[in-house]
Amino acid sequence: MRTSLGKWWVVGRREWQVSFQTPLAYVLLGLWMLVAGFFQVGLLVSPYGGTSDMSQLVDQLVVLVLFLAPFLTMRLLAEERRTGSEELVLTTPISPVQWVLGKYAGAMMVWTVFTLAAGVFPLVTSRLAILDWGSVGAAWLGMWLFGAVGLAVGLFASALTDSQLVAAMVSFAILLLLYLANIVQTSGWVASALSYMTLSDHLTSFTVGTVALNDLIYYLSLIAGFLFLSIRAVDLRRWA
Amino acid sequence: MEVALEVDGITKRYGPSRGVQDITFSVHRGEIVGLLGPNGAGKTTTLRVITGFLPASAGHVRVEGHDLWEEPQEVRRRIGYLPDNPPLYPDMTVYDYLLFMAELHEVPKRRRVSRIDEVAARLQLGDVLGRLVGRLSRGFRQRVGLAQAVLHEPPVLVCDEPTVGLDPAQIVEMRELVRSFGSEHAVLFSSHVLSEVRLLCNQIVIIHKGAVIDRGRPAELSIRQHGGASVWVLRVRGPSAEVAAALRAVAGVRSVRPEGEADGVCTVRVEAAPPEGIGRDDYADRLVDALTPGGWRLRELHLQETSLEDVFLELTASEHHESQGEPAQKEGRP
Repeated sequence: MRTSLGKWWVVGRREWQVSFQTPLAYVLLGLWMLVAGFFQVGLLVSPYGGTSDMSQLVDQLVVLVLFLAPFLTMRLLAEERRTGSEELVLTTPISPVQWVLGKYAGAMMVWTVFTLAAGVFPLVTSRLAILDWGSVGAAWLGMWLFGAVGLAVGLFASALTDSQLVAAMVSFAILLLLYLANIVQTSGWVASALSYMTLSDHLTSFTVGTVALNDLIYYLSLIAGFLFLSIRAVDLRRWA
Repeated sequence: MEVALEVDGITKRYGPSRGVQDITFSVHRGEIVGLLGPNGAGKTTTLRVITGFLPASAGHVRVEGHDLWEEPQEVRRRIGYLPDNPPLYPDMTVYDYLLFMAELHEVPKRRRVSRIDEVAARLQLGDVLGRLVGRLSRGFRQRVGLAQAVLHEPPVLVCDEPTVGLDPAQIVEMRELVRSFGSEHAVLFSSHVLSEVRLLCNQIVIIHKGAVIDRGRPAELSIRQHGGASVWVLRVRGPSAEVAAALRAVAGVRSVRPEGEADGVCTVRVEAAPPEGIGRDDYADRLVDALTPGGWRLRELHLQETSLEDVFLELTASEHHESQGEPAQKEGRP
C-alpha cells in the first residue's frame, strides 16, 4: 500500500525522540555507565590478577541488562493504554504489526546507544593491553542481542497491562527465569531443555569470540516469539 | 445524497448487560448526525466500533461502500476520529504531533506541511504549533484533536462529545467548527446535550441503554411523539370545569386538562389529533367555536410544540418505568 511499509518507522522515530525528551533515558544511561565502569575497574585491578578480558565484562553487563530492559520498555505500550492514546493511533490505517514493531524499533535504537556507549571500556582498555577486536565485537554483538531479547520480553509485558510498574515487574520476572533456567539441577532431557532455554548459556559462544549459529538462532527466535506475542496481546485486548 | 457512512445492525457485547445492540443508521455526505443519549447509553462504544477500534460482535460498518470487516484499512483511511477527551501525546509539540498523525494518516509527503498549515489556520492553532501538547488548555487540546482528525480530509468525521469540558465561548466555537465541517464531510457526533444536537444536526439518533430508541429529523421526532396529536393551551374567561367539558365534546380531542384558574380566567390544556382533512389552524377554530355557546371569552390560544426534551425524557423515562417499576416522573422537572 501507499506508505504502509514505513509506518513502523514513523512510530519508532517518535519513540526515539520522546525517549530523550524525558529524564528517564539519561538517568538510565548515567547509571549504566557508572555501574559498567565500576565493573570494568573491578576487573582491571582485581587482586586475583587483573584482566583485560572483555568477555568477563560482558558477562557482568548482561546481569545489568536484566534490570535495564524492564525500565527501557515498561512505558512503551502500557502508557499508551493507560492514557488511551493508542485509540487514536490504532484508528489510523496502521496495523498492530507495524505499531508493535515501531515501538520495538524505537526501544532498540535507545538500547543501541547504551551498547555503543559501553564501547568506551574496550577503547580505554586497549590503551593498557592488546585487544582482539574480533572477539570484542562478537562479545558486544552477543550483549546487544541479549538486550534485544530483554526488550522484546519487556515489550510483551508492557502489552499485557496498563501499569508501567506491573509491566516492569513481569518483564523482570520473565527475564530472570530465562536467565536462571538452568538453576534447576536435574538430569536427562529436562536438564538439557532447561539448559537450552537459559539466556546466559547462549552468550558463551559470543563472549569467547565465536558466533555460533544455533545461539544466534536462539536469540532471534526468542525475539520473534515475544514480538509475536506482543502483537497478539495488542490485538486481543481490543476484543476483551 | 450519497451515503458516506452506513451502520448496519452493529452489536457489541461486553458482558451480560453492557454494550450496544443492533444499532442501525446512516450518514450522508454533507449531513450532520447527532448520536444523542444519556451518559452510559453506549455512545462511545458505538463510535469505537465504527472507527474500528473495537471489533463488533455482529453487524456491519461501511464507509463509501468499503466494509470494515473486509477492508479495515480502507475504512480507517476514510474516517477522522476525535475521541472523548482526546488522548494526545503530552510530550510532543503540537506541530510534531500533527506531523506524526499526518504520516500515520498517509497524507502524501509533499502535502503534509501545507495541510498542517491549512488546518492550523482554520482551527486557529497557528500560535500554539510550537508548544507542548501537555501544556495546552482544554479548549486548545480539543482543537488539536479535531485538527488531527481532519488532516487527511476524510469523507467521514466522527466526534465523541466534542464540547464536553469546554467553557461557554469554546463550546460555541467548537459547534461552529463542527457545523462548518458538516458541509464537506459526513459528520457523526455524540452528545448528551439536547440543545446542541437540535442546533447542529440534520438527523438525530437517540440511543438509550445500548439500543436506538428513535431517530429522525428534529422536527419529526417532536411530532411523532404523541402519535400525531398536538397540544393547544387555551386561556378562557369562564369556569374551568364547564369549559373543559365543552372542549371535550369537540371531535378529535383526546384529553383536556384544566391547569388552574385565577380571577375567573382558567387555563386548559387540550391534546387532540385533528380529524383527517383538517389542518391545525382550522382545528383551532373548532376549539374556539366550542366556547361560543357558553359565552366564555377567549383570552389566549397557542399551539404547544413538543420539545425535544420532552421526547427524550419521555422515551428514556418509559424505559426507566419498565425496568424499575417506578412511575415516570415527568411533571417534577423544572
